[in-house]
Amino acid sequence: MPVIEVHNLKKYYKVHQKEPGLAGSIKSLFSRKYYDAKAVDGVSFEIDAGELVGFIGPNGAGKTTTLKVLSGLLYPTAGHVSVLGYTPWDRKPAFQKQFSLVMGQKNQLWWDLPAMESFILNKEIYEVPKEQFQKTLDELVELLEVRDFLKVQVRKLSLGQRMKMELIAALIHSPKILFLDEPTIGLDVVMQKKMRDFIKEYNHRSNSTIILTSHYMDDVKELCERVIIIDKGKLLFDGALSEIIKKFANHKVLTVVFSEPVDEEKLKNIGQIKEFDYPKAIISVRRSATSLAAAELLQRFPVADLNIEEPQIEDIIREVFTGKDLA
Amino acid sequence: MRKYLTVFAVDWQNQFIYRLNFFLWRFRNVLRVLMTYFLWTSIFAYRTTVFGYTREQIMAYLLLVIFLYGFVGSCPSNDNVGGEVSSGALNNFLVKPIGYLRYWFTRDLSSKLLNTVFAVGEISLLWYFLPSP
Repeated sequence: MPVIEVHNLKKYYKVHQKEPGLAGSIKSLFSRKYYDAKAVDGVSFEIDAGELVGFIGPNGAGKTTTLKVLSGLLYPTAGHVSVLGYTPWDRKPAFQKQFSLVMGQKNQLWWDLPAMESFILNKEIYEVPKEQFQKTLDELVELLEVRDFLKVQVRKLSLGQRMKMELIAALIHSPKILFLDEPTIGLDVVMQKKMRDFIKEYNHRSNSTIILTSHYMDDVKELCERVIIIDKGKLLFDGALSEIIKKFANHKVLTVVFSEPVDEEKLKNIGQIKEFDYPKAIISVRRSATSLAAAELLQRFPVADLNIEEPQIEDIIREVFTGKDLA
Repeated sequence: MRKYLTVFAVDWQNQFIYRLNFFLWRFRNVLRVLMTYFLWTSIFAYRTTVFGYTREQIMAYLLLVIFLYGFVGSCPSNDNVGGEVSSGALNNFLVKPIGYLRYWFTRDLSSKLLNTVFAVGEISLLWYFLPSP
């Protein structure tokens, strides 16, 4: 039984183009030319309870727009959306009490007060019973190791500590669905890892459904079994992370270490040279020609070491986004 | 209702954070009363009526204006709502089961009440210490 159903979702923004200069501004007071920016253009997917789905795409792909529609902040231009059986943009309190939206670049905490005050306010807003509030708070504070900072003004916290507090504020009402928009943005690698571990742990413990968008492939690789890739408002891929390699990678990567200098020109016959810095070369070859290329390398070149690998997921996705062929 | 009471409480807490800011704000209010008081005292030094009003009438009028201005004038929604809409901070409220207009109404009310409570205290003190007309 899916908790999130999205069918043929479209969201077009009406955008006005201003001609340059003051004259253009004055003209725009009276007449404006609009065009439709197709932020989301016919996306469909379903998500089951307890799933942790990665939502990836380049800037402007439509990730945030989709999340905003799902959380009721935007009306769609067309399409059917149902979250927990509700239509999000009706903004019914019963629905709002069951989800949370965390945007890495926006904060909901009161800047000048300790985070605790924001938690208490959220407790009242979401009408969380006292015992449950205390229990949830203790759990989250323990998991995120922030007990010492509860009474410190939010503005005095580091970005990482603040992000943890943001998460607590978002989870204090134990939402069934969690939308995380770039939760690790701007954090250092250690803090990113901690965030990831927490999200994973939280997903296991609470069996909540989580949709996560991120620019960091590590987030997605580590957390999500399923990914949805969108670009320019269209769905490119929906499935297991490992399927991406099968579907899009039509090449393999040969890493060679030579024992003697070789002629780069000759090497080009083997495949596309990605990197050549003697004694090491990285060559990309078509999947079907992999064994042939490897045999040729071994026969005709002084090879000290040879490695055949699948391409990195980052590389595949980059290629998918730029529409280029790797091999 | 409880959620708005908490908004009220948090708003007061927010106003007490920066002590110097808070005390200077109150000092400004007292200063304003004093300035008007001494201005009109000097105007009335050589006459008993101005525009047909006696000193007592003018003073009562001014006190009332200062007091009411504190209530009518303090209106944080005025300075903040536009910015929240423009920056997108409004989204924080739209995803929660809380009314945005009620939220700001509460904060306006709490700000007015805070101002009024202190204004009453300050004016009573001045009333006591300044030579009565």
